[in-house]
Amino acid sequence: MIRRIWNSIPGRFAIGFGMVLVLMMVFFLISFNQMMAVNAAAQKITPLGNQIYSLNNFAVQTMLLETSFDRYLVIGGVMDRDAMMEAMKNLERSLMQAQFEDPFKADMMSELGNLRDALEKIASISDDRLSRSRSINEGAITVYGHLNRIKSATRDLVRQTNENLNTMTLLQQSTINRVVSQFVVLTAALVLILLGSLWWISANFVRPLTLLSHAVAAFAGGDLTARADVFRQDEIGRLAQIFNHMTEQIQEQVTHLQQQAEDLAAAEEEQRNLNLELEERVARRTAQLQAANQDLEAFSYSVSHDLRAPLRSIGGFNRILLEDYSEKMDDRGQEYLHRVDKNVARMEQLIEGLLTLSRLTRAEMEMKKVNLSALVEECAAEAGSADPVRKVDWLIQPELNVNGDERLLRAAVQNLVDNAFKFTAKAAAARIEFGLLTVDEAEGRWKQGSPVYFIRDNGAGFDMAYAGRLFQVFQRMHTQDEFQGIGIGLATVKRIINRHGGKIWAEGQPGQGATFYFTLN
Amino acid sequence: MWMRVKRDGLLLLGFLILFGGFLMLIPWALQASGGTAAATPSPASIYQGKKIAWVDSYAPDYDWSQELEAGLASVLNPTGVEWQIFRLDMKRNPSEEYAVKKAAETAEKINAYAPDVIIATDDNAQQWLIVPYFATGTVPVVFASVNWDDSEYHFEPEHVTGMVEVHLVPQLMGQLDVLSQGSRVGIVAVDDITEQKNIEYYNRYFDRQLQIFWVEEKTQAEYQRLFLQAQAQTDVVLIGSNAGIGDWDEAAARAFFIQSTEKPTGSFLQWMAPYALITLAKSGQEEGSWAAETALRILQGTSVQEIPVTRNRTGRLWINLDIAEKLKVVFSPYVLKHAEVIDREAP
Repeated sequence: MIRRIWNSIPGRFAIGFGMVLVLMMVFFLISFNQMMAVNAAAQKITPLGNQIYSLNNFAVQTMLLETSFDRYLVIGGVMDRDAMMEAMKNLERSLMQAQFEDPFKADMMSELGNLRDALEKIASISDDRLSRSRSINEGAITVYGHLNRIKSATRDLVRQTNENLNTMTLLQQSTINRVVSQFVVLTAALVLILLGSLWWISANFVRPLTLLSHAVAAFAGGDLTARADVFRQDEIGRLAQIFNHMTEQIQEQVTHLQQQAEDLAAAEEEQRNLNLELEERVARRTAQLQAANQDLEAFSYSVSHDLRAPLRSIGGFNRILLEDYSEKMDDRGQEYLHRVDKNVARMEQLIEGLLTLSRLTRAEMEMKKVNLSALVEECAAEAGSADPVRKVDWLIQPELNVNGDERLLRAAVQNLVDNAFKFTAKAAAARIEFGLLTVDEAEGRWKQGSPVYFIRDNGAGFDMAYAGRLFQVFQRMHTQDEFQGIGIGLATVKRIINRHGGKIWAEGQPGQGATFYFTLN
Repeated sequence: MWMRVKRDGLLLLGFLILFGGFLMLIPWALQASGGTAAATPSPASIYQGKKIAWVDSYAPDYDWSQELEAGLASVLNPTGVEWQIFRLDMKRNPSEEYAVKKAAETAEKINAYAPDVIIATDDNAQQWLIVPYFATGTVPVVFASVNWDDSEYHFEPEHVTGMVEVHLVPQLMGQLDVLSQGSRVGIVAVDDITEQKNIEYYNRYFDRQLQIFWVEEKTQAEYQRLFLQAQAQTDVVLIGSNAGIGDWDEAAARAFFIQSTEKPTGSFLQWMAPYALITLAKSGQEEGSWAAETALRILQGTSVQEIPVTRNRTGRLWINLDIAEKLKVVFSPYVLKHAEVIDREAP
């Protein structure tokens, strides 16, 4: 039970306060007792002081009577006799007024009575004093005897009273000294105990709390090894144990996290190195590709450019043959010449397409705000004017503005519109649609947030199995007889879209039409 | 951990001890009204183990010795100091042979007693015992009742001090001069060594004007005759010693002096008080108490050298009312207050 109380802070404080309370009560009782003792000693002194005062007064009156008697003895006049008797009365009065105790008072009463008789006896001798010298000497001796006894008794009582007073004073002084020494010792003891209590509080509460706070501060400052060096059974000890346990767990977790962070950093470093390596490889390949592309484009341009002159020459000479020598050839020959002319024309278209593609790739871009809807409407009007017989239902979403090169965008839109117009030629109710996908529609189709434009038709469509070849040069999904074309248009569109940082792709089904989607940065 | 628990235990133990110690102070503290503090040691404790030897030149039945003893006892007895009396009894044995032998025996006894201080009274003790045996020894000596002068003993002040005994001539003559009709002073005394020495010192006061009436034949009749002669030739008569007068009749002498005295008379000798108007005699009690107090001072540590030789200053005063009646003298208040009365009865 005691151990349990002692091992709790409230219990310790209760014990400490209890002891201090007992000490203070004891201290108060002792101080009260000491004050009462000093008071009692003082009360014993006061009556003695009064008695000494009365005795002194009595002694003075005795001395005055003796002096008066001396004078009367020497001179013997009536006035001296009256003064002597008055002094006697004063002496008697001083005895009566004083609160002396017996036997002194009784003895003095007796002595004063005898003294008065002796004085009166001497005072009665008024004639021929020298002849009655014996009576005077004897009477005087008697008077002085009484006076001496009175003085002696007074002196004895004064001495005794003084002794008592001294004793009482010594007792009082002794009591005061004792009280003071006791007060000093008790105060010193109390101070010692209070200092001990302070040290005990410091050792039991302040120091452990200080150690604990230092440990907490050190831990908060980053020292994960900081621990409270407090080993106790009370609340502070338990708090320290909890703190130490908590810090151990935190240290373990932090160590684990640090290990993970180090691993992650190593992985990131490795990834970064790989990325750098990859970027270097990509850059190197890109440079190689760019160089190859430039070479290829230069080659294509050169080839196309250089091929046009001999082709024109062939075409020219073939037309001369047709115009000037066709009557000299049979029908087969003429047929062959027409075929050559037709292929030369196709060859020129191919070369022109390649040159166009090459120019679009190499041309400098001039970026500005472009109304894409207006471009589509213009291209649709041009396509419709080329074949006024056809009826196409155009659905063009208005005011779709983009930032790009207007010339290139016009070429791309024209290829897409011409393509749709061409492949809806056999549709019963042709319909071509241009617009912007809604957010929901664009979901999952391209990068989140990038607007996706589309041109949709209900024409011939295509097989998605060949979608990968759709934007390659000279690749065609239909024969020349079905739909004319040289297979460069979509490649050109793709090149323009790419130069704008966008992407183009297509969806379709044979006979169900096709939709071309594209984005622009 | 174990050290911590041990420290906590010690802490608690120390605190309980402190607390218990405080509680143990309580009974002591509650004695506030207890006894007086013994600030100074009692006289008994000061003189514990100390011893004083008193060498009396005479015997216990001798009046002077009794006065000395009374003075010694009044001082020494209350202190608790141990003291012992060694009597030489030389009044009854005045021979030199006895003196030498008695002194040797007494010295041996004193050495056996091993006192811390020796008190020796009267000249016989100094002459026969102190000077030959103790004057230069290690035991301090206090003398008293040495007549008039101690120089003849050549005491060393480091070892010996004391009180010389003088007759109070100025004091007695102050009272007699008031009563006398003239300035002439005479003295009647038996012619012996003591009186010769006394009168020698008296004469210093009277500037050698003292008229001396020596009683040569040592008879009462001659003494009375010389008294009448002195009374006729002087204004004040001093009554000297009657020592050695074999036929001295006290009653007749008293009657003679009461009837014959016509001039103020005085005496320094107590046993002559019945025959003089005023007697101022030396006090053996004064000398005894002074010697005792001086011995105690020495025992308390005062060196002998610090205590100078002194002389007696008080005496016993007697007045003779019969002679006063004869002379029609009313004494002064001072005399009447302090005097003892010599009446018709012997003192």
